[in-house]
Amino acid sequence: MIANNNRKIVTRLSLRSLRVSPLRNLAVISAVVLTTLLITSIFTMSLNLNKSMELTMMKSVGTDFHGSFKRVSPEQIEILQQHPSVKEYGVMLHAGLLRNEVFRDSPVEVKRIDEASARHSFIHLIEGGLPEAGNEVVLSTWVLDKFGIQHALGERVQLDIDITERVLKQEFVVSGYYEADKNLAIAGLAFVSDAWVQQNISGIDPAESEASGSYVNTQEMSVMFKNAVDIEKKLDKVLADTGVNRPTGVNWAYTTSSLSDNLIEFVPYVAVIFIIMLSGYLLIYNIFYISVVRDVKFYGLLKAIGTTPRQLKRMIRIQSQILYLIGLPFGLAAGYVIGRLLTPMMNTFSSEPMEAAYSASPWIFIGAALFAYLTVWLAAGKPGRMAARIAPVEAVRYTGVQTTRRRNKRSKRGGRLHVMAFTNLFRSKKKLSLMLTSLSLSIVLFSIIFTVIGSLDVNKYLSTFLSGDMVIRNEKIETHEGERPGDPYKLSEAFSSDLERIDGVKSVEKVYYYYDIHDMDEKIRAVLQPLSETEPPQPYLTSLLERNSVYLQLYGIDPGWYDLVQKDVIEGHFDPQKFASGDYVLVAQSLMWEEDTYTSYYHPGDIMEFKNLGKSYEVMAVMNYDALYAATTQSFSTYGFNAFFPSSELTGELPAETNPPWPLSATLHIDPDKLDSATQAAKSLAASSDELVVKSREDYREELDGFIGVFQIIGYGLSFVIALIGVLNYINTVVTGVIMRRNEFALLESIGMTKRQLKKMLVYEGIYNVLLTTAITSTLGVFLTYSIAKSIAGNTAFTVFRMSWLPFVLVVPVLAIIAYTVTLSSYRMLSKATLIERLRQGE
Amino acid sequence: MPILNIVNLKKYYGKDPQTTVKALDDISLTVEKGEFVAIVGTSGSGKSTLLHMLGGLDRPTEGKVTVDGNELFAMSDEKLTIFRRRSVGFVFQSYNLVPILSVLENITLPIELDGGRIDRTYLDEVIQALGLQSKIHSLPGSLSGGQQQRVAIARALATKPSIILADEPTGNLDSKTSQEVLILLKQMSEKFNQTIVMITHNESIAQMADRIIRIEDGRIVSGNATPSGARIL
Repeated sequence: MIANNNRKIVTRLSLRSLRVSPLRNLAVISAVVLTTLLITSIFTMSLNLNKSMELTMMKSVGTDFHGSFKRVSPEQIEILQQHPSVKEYGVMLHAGLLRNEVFRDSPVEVKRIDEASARHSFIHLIEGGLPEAGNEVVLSTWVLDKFGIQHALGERVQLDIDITERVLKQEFVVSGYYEADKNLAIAGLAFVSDAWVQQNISGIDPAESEASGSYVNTQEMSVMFKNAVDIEKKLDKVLADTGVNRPTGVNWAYTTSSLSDNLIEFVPYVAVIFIIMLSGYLLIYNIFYISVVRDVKFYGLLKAIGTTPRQLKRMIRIQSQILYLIGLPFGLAAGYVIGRLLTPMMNTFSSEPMEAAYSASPWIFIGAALFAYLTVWLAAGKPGRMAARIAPVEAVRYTGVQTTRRRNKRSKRGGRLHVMAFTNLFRSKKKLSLMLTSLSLSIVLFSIIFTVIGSLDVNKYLSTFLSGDMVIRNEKIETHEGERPGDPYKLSEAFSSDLERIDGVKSVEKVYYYYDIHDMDEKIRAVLQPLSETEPPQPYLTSLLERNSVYLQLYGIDPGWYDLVQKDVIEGHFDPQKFASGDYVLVAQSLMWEEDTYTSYYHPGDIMEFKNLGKSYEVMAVMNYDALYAATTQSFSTYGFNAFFPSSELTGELPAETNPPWPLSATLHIDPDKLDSATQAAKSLAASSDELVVKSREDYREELDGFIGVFQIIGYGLSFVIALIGVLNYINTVVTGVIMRRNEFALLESIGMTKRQLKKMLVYEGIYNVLLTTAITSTLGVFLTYSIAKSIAGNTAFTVFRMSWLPFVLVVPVLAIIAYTVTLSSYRMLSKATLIERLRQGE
Repeated sequence: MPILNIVNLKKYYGKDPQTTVKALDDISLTVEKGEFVAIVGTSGSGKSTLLHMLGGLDRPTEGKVTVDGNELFAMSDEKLTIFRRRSVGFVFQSYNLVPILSVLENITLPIELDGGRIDRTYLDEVIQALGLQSKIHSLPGSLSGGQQQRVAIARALATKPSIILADEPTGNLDSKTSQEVLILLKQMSEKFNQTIVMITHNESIAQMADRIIRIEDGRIVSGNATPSGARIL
């Protein structure tokens, strides 16, 4: 009974206290909104990022079904779908492959699917529906383009369908079509009707076609469970329960986790959240602390009348909770919106282009609300405890004179204004250090971000991809596996000469590529054998050793590339003339299994035999694993390495069994005066082939601008917010300091200090504050900025560390201005009342 | 049994023997229930310090204070606060009232803090006696000095405390209002049989009390440490 009743009075006191301090409330609410907003947007962005990555992976896999049962019979499908854990299922039947000429290099599979499969395979029909009649077909826009057919229903197309025993040629009618994603996995499908299947392949025995490897007329049943947890176990359970025994498949897009695997990736997020919470905490703590100190008489009186420490603590707590609840929805909403808006920009960060997917998971809001609550709870806790411990005597004490330990003050000229100002500064060491910490923290963070952004270097970025002015690459080569029949060498000699003949093109530097299955020699074994004996055994390494070969990428480079070699050399010395003779090879380090570990099997002076080139070469130098990055396929084979030769070595006489190398890229160096016209000409030449990708310096620069833009927005935004928090904190401290000392000022004025002298003293105090802050930031601050920014900016492909001094230089004038204006305006606000009123107020 | 018993109370400030301030230097005193005692002294005599001790607002260096059988300084901070809430009424010189609560809420504050029941009849009587009926919903800021003091007295009486401690209750008031407030105080003491200990530096005000005790430099210099004879009935 007692407990309930006195809750009411404490609540009433809390609410009334809230009512009389609107400014303080506004400040706390703003701080809560800010903190919540930042945390929410971070959560939103990371969940969105996660979802985007998942979506992209699923699109490469081709489906978002959790798992599948392979090569099941219709009876088995019937049994399996009845299992309670199967929430949804779809069935796909493999009908054959398209053998039309246009699909020589890119196989198109023919399937029969149902509506569920279409939905889960990202097949969204632009027009029309799934085929029903025996001559209807659904194709992707990519396939239609290959045939040169319009995207329209009713169009006729001749398809040659290979069902292994023979090729069926038939004319079909387009009953529907879907947008081909960039992702070829989904584009390369054609769908026929069940009617067609019954007419043409239903007689084929699935068991036989499975044994022969053609899989025609086999069916795969894909399923959705309640969630993506332990898909393999779920599949096995279904099999065990139903007694069906068939191979299963798990959608690796779910098992290959995106964000959660790499714990290291988490660290920046955790650090950012921590910083946000810390800033929010400092701000809110400061506000409440000052509020309690200001109202010490009030709390003292309550204590004297009989309010217990616990009740006082609760008063502060209740007030902070109410303000939190008011600010929370705004922070959550704004944070979510901002996070959503920024997500597409974050996606451009990743190396593969990602489609933006959004998450509206309630965890974002729950998590952010919890973190924000924690911040508020901690921040109001200490001031609450302070209020609880206020001695009731404070209510009756006449002045708030702090007892200090010092008994004597020997100085004679303490009455000088600037001396008074200096002493005033150190009155409350705690408040001073709190304010200095908050301010310095903001400045340091601001300058770190500023420096990192200022280190963005266009040229460094460009040189990763481009050495000349334009590059034409045959991207298909990089993704193609196996042999390439016919003459797909678009970057042929003829083509190159055409390029050279363009007016303004000074030179065309080519790179040739050869994928070499290279036998291991003693040098390679010497490194790999001991590695394979460590625990746990590494399966890939074991299989390589069994096969006795590693996979190398051989590159033949034109002379124009020689200038770029030296900077990547780590052992030996590069001599262009000797290299051009053709007896030497440049070898890059190999990528080992552990991240960031590189070793070279060879050293300068070693002789290497390349069977497929029919020759031996002396190693001239060892280079970085990613040497001449712009010239390579930009992918690396584990335990393998890149080797560089003059292009003549690859294009010259080769042993009979060796396949010719592929022209990977042609880099054009163009006369600056003729840049535009030459670029145009080259682009139109290359347009004839859909395999060649042309990128000019301008194209990369545009990409980079977008990239930099993202960085800048996020970076400057974040640093602005942090600086804002620090400044707000500072303003709050100054204003409240002035308010609290109003009795003292009134007293000083009454004994004869003029308003001008008082103002001067205050300004001095402000200046000392600024000087102290500057002292900290220009020593510790600079050190921290330098080391942290260096470790960030020194390690990326597009930054060259450049220390930015601007923030530190700006600190002094900006702070000085703020200190000056805020101090004076708050004083002016106060001194509007007459002297006597202000003196009276003190009582 | 006396309602208030002070034994060898000492309050020294400072550790260094040369600079020690002896605010209270061995004070012993008893007060009977229903007495109106005035403690007189010049500023710096220690009278305020003594009063703070009696209310448990401050702790002594040495000595005991027993209020209605309860030894104050044997209690913890929390217990002392609760005791104070129930058994001690305060009237300060100024800043008595909580500015964000109405007059009525100020009066009932100690009771509500305790979660106890409000005796409406008794409260009405007190409010009537102090002439505050028309002001009970006003905020303290709108009241005159005298009215504020009257509210403070009402609050002090509300919990029917063991003792009421008044610290220069008329210090901020003009002479006419001072008289009114003092008369009220005395009347309340008689009507409700309340024990009142009042401190003042003003001799004429002190005359209103049943017993006067003088303090100088932290010691009692005149006046009876124990009640002499019965109160005038």
